Amino acid sequence: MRTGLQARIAVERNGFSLDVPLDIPPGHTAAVLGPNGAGKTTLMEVLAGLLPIERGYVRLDGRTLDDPSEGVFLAPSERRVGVVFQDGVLFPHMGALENVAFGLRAAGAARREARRRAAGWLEAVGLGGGGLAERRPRFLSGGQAQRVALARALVTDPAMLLLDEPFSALDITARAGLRQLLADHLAGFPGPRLLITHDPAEAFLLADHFVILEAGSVVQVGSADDIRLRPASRYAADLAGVNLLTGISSGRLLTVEGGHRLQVAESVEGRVIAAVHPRAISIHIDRPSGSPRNVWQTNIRRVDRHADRVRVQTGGPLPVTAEVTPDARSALDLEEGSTIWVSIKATEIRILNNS
Amino acid sequence: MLRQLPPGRRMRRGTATPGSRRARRPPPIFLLIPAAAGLVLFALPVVGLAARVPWRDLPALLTGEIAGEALRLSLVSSVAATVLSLVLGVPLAWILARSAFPGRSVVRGLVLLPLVLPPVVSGAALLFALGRRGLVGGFLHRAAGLTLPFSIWGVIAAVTFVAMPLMVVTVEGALRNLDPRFERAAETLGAGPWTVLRRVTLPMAAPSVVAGAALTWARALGEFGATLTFAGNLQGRTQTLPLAVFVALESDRDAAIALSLVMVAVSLAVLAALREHWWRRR
Repeated sequence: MRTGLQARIAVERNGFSLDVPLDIPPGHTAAVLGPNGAGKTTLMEVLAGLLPIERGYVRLDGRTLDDPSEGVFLAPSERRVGVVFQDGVLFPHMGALENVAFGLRAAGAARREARRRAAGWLEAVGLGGGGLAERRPRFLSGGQAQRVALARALVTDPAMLLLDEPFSALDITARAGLRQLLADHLAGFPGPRLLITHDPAEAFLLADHFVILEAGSVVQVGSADDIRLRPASRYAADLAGVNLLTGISSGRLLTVEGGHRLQVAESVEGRVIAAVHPRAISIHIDRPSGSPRNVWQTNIRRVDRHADRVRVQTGGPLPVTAEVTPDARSALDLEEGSTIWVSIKATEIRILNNS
Repeated sequence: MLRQLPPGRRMRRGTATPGSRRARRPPPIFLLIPAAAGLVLFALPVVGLAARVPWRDLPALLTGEIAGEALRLSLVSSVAATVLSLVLGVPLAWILARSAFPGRSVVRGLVLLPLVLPPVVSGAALLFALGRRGLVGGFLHRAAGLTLPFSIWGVIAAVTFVAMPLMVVTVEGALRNLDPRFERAAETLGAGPWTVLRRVTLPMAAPSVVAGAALTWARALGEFGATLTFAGNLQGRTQTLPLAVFVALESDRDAAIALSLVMVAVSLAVLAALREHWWRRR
C-alpha cells in the first residue's frame, strides 16, 4: 500500500540539532533547500537509515523505519530507500554494469539475470552501447557517473528515492542532460521522492513542493508560489526571487515565450529554461548606455518592501522580478505604475537546460 | 635603500619554473656525504655476500638434504603464517578500524607488541604459554596430545606471532582510509554486512591486503629468534632457512652463503612485487 513518507525527525549531533517534520505523498517530489550546514545531509542520512533519530518517527508506506519510542530501527539494507549520492559514489572496483547490478545481486538475483536487468537500466538512462557497461567509474564523465548512480538506485525498485545534490559535481551541459533524464524518470517513479539541493532553479524544475531548512529547522514548507509570494526568511526570499524563463535558444539569442528576445552568453540550440537572479537585473529611469545588450522599457506592477531590500515586479513585454536596495528605491522613486528601463547583462542569464 | 639580492638568486627569478630548476641543482654536499655513507652500509653486505657465492657448486649446495628440508620448512611455515594472518589478522584489523569499544588501545598495543619485542623474548613468552609445561600448552598436551615446541606447529606459531602484526597494521590503516560512503551506498542498495564486506570493503582494501600479506610472508620467512627459542633447531623438523644459515656458518660456509643468497633473492622478489603494486596505485 502506497501512503508515502510520514516523518518527524529529531536528532542532535555535535551540538547541532535537527528538528524536521516531513510528509511526502506517493508520486510527489519534495525539494529540501537550505544553505550549507542547514542539516540537509543529516536529513538524508536519517531517511536512508545511516543515522538513527533520537525522537520522532519515520514511516514509509505504513512501515515504521525508525521509531525510538517503539524501539524500531531498520538498517539501510532493509528500508528500500534508493539513494543517488552526491558525486555518485559508484564502486570504483566495478564496471558501470556491475555497479547497477549490485543491488540485484545483493537481493539474491543470479549473476546473469542481474546483469541482463542492469543492462536494461543502463539503456534506460541513456548509457546503452558505446562500451560503457564494463567501464570503471573513473573512466566515466561526471554526467555518465550520475546516470549510472540513478540506474543503480532505481534498479532495486525502491519504495522511496533520495537525491542528494545530484548535480553538484557536474558542468552545465551535463547538468542539463541529467536534469531532463531525472524529470523523465521521476515522472515514472510511483513512490515519494526527495531532492536535496541548494540550487533553487533545479528544485523548481523537478519538485512540486519545497521544504526550506535553515540551522536544523524548517523555515517554510509550500509550493513554489507560496515561497515566491510569502517568503518566510531572507534565504527563502533569495530562492523564490529567481526568474525562470522558458523559450527557444538559437546561437546566442534566446526567444522567450511571448516573443521577447534576449542576448545570452552561451551558444545553445533548442528549447531551454534560463534563470536570472533578481539582483542581476538593473532598473534605470533613463535608457542606460554601456555594455548590457538586453534593455527594454516597461512599468512597475508591484513593489514589495522588506527590511533591507525591495523586490520590484515589472510588467510586459517580459515580466521579471528585480531586487534593489531601499536607498535605490527612494532615489529612483520606484512606485507601482512608474515607467522604468530594465537591463540584464547577457552573462547573468544562466541557461539551465536544452531539452 | 633596496637590499640587493645575490646575483644567482636574482637571475633565477622569473625564469623557468622553480621546480625544474631546483631539480637540476646537485644536492648539497652536507647531505650527500652522509647519504652516500648510508648507502654503502646497505650495499656492502650484499656485495660481500655476492662476491663469496660459490656459483659453480650452487646447484649441489641448494639441493642438498639440509638446504632442501630447511627450504621446505620455511615455505610451509611462512605460507601458513600468511594464511593465518589473513584469516585472523584481517578481522582483527577490521575490529580495530571500525568498532569503538573500551580497551581498544590495549588491544592495539597487544597486537603491536610482537613488532617491537625482541624475537627471543617472544619465543620465551610463547614457551611459557604454549610449552609443554606452559599455561595453555600443558592443557593442549593432555587434552589433544598436541605439543608445539620442537614441531612444525611450533614454528608456525612462532612465525605467525612475530609476523601477523604487519598484516593487522597494514590492513587497519587501509580500512581507516577507506571512504565510508561506499559501504553506506552498498547498504542502501540492500547489501547486508557480509555482502558489504565481501563485495565492497575487501575488494577496495585489496591492494593493502596484498601488501600486508607480502610483508607478513617476508617477515615470517626471515624469522629466527622466536623460532629458535620456542620451536628449537631440529634439522628436518624445525630448522628453517635462517636457522640453517646460522648453523652452516659454523660448519659449511659455502652452504651458508648459498642459503643466504636464496633469502636475498626472495626478499628482492617481494620488494619488486610490492613496488609493482604501489606503482599501479599511483
